[in-house]
Amino acid sequence: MDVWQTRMPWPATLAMPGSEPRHAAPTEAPEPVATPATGLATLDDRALVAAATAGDRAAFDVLVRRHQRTVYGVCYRFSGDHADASDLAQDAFVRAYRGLGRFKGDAAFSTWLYRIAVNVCLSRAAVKTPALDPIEPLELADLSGDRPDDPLRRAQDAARVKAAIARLPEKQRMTVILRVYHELPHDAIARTLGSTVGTVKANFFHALQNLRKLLAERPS
Amino acid sequence: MSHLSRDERLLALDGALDPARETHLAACAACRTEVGALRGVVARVRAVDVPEPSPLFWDHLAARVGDAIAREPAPVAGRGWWSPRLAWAAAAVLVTAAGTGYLMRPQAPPATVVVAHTAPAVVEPSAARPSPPAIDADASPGDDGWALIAAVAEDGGQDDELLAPQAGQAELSISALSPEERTALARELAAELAPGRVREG
Repeated sequence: MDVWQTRMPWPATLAMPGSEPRHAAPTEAPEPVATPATGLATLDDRALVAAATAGDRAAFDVLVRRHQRTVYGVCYRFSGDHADASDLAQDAFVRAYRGLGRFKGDAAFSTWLYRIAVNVCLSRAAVKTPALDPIEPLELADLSGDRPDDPLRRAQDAARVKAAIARLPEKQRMTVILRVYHELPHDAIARTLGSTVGTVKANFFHALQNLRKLLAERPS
Repeated sequence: MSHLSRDERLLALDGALDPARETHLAACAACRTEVGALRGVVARVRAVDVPEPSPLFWDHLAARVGDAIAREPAPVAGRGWWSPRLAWAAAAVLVTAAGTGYLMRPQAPPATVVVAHTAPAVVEPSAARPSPPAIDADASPGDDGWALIAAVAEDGGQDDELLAPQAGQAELSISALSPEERTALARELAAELAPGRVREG
């Protein structure tokens, strides 16, 4: 089952359903696949994988264009940096290309690809600590109550949350990303991370508790 | 009634809490505060969007990936970690292990063992020595070589046809020898098979 695709009907922006995308029109049409071999764009992932494995690099280019937003989104959520996310996404696609022969088609290509992206992020995190922006205090203290829908305030809060997520241990961070932004169920996250459902639940719970503490912190 | 457990608090976030526990949640201020705090965190995390890169970025990223894979060799269909090179290495390990095991094998025990100073007892050799383990990767967990061989045996990968002896392969190999090589091979075989031959050191 293609959990990623069925639960992500908003690939253009990676915004959650019901949230207000601030960077792209919600009615944006699917990105046209500009490739010399336009006929390839009509093929499904499985057929494109077969073509790419047979040596058709244009087929792989179609796969890249089809999935690059989601792969980049995972990488951006994890790294919190555009340049790093670009590198991570490129690395994920290159690793996927190298491993096309190992793709057996048991799961959807997208699931397999995103698992590679997650692993690239986690392995990169092992050697590189993400930039830790300071968690700036909000001017207004009450975050739980009703707030004026002020763009500046919203951006300020988003920066705080982003900085707090960056401070989470890697597995907790990735669990939050997959659970909250991609709405993957716990068992799908466990399969993606090569973990158990119990561990995923524990990581998610601890991540939320850590975020709660980090967001409540006030600099002395 | 006890407060909500960790898993129950996560279920409450998803709106999937058992009705009986929902009743508790509705009545318990402490649990409501906890779940409410977690809900608040999730809502704030969810509100953070990925900033949309420049419209040109997607073409740029696709081009970068294209350049990178242009430097890569074409992917090989149906080839996992199990490459022919590894297959031959594993086969070499197998042969070496078998040969070493044969040369290092213990001498055959005497047919009977008499325990001194006690009533004479006869112990069957099969009872005195444990029987060899069955082929199971878990049987010798500390033995990496054995685990490798067992993994190779179990793999059944796509390259089995490259490893399995093919019918008539020996005949083909012999037919490829020159007359002199065949004569030398026959001489070697006759010497090996001669009765009473002593292994040379």
